[in-house]
Amino acid sequence: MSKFSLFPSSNPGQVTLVEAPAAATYARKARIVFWVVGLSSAVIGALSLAYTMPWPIVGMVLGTAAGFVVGFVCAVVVRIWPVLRAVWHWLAEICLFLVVVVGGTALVHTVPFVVALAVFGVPVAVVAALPASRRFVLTVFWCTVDRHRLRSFCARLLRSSSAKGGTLPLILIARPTPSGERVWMWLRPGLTLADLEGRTGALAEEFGAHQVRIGRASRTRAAYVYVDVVRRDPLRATVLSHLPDLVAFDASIVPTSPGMPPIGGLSLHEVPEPLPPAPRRGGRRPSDEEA
Amino acid sequence: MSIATLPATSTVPVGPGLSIFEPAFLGADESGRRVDLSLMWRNLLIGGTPGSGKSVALSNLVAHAALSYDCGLVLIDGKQVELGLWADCADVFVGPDQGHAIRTLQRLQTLTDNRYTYLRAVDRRKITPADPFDPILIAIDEIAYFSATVGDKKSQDLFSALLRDLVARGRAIGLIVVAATQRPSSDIIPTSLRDLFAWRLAGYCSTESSSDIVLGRGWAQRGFNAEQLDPDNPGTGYLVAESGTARLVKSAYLSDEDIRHLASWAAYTRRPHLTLPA
Ligand SMILES: Nc1ncnc2c1ncn2[C@@H]1O[C@H](COP(=O)(O)OP(=O)(O)OP(=O)(O)O)[C@@H](O)[C@H]1O
Ligand SMILES: [Mg+2]
Repeated sequence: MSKFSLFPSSNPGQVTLVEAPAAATYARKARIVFWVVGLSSAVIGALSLAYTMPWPIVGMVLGTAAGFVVGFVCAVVVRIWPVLRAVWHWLAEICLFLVVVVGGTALVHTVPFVVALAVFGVPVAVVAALPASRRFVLTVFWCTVDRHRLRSFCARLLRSSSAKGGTLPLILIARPTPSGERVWMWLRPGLTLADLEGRTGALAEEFGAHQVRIGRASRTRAAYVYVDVVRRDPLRATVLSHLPDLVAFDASIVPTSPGMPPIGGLSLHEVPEPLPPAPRRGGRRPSDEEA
Repeated sequence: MSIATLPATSTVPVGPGLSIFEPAFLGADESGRRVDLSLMWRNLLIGGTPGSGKSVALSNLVAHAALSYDCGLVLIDGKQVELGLWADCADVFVGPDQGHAIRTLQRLQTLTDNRYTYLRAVDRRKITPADPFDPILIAIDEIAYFSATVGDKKSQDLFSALLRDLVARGRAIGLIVVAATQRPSSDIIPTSLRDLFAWRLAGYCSTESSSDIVLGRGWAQRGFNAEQLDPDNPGTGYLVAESGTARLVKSAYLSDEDIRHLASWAAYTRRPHLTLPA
């Protein structure tokens, strides 16, 4: 197991400074997982197959083998976890790359070049021409960009002194909202919501956004948090109340005032300066000023 | 204004059938969904700089209460005009008169005691819609006027103490306090009173600390900072309400025309059952 290594030197999912120890940690974790999961599933598999198969010995051997296969698969997942995380992180780009390059190559080999160009060019032109679809593509673009920026922000935070040695959070999906984007993430040990609080200004600069708001996405699971990236203000328009529609308008019930009510002292020169306070207490003080 | 000018119509106005036990419409949130506040058993504090839309937000809630068939209204307004449009349908309307405000709060305090005695007699801890009396919405605009501006220190403290008692004890017997003030710092209202308001609405604030004073400590750190709202977009604000999370909302706008119309309607449907003689 310990020999197993994919991209050993330039692992994109790891923070460069802690790369070598991290790789060793993943290898050790994988070995532990292999033995713990493998042994326990081997015992379970052997016992259950021994009792259910017609030949207990064959069942036991098969069950043991199956158990170790399960253990091996789990160990591989643990060993390549940084790679899986990187793949998850770059999934959108990888898919796009596959479609454009692999699909494009295949297309060019099967149909004439002009047709292939049309197959790719026409949808791109249509999407670019229609404002709604263009906006949609742009919001999706910002969502993918936000996830990368959030990840690099967290990585930098983990390298800084305050949260040193923590684990990178799992950046879940991002979704466009009327004001920008919302990214969900799952915090792992070492980086807490409190570490991010007070850094919303720095986050906003990182995202190139107007402001950033963070909070818990779930009342029961503290690790599940959201990051709201605010790029525009959707609350510009006046909101109307439905209450006036609930009552049928009847001009006759609105009371009308007889005319301009007789109120004086509306201009400053009509309002006299208040009299200075009486010199001694106990004396009768001038009360209301007459306007 | 007088109701005596009403023509004798043959039709009876039918109220819209709202109830104070149902959520009141406040406005819309960022995703365009409507925001409703369930006012029953709650108190709300509204803050923000002058012109940030506090009174407009308040009048949405007053409108709901006024159109509810089961809610009394006590309006206390240091500026007269904001809630003055609703004066005709209110049980008590208090203008810029601290003595009247204090006397009204004292009446409400007596009412609190009476209602608790009633609840004790029927062995319950909370009122229900079936009780023979109605909840009362107490809307206060410009608390600062009564608690820090006019009168002497003694009457200001008396006002604050009475209001604190109302907020502290009024919940279970259906007294809902919705108060607006520009900056509810400790020199305006006592911290012990401010902290009793569970729900907060912060319009634009000029500093981060003012925002935290309205919303509660720590919200600005998480990015819910009313200083970053757009002062040219009045009516937007952060609302801390249900489920303890904050969200950006914009209150609905009721024009003077709308309010006159709603208020006269409410006054028309309410007249027969005034609960507190003015
Ligand atoms: N929700 C809203 N939608 C549109 N316009 C609004 C909204 N709220 C407030 N405004 C505008 O802002 C103005 C000021 O609002 P409002 O009187 O509620 O402010 P305020 O916070 O009560 O100020 P003050 O502290 O001076 O009483 C309103 O006259 C209105 O033009
Ligand atoms: Mg106001």
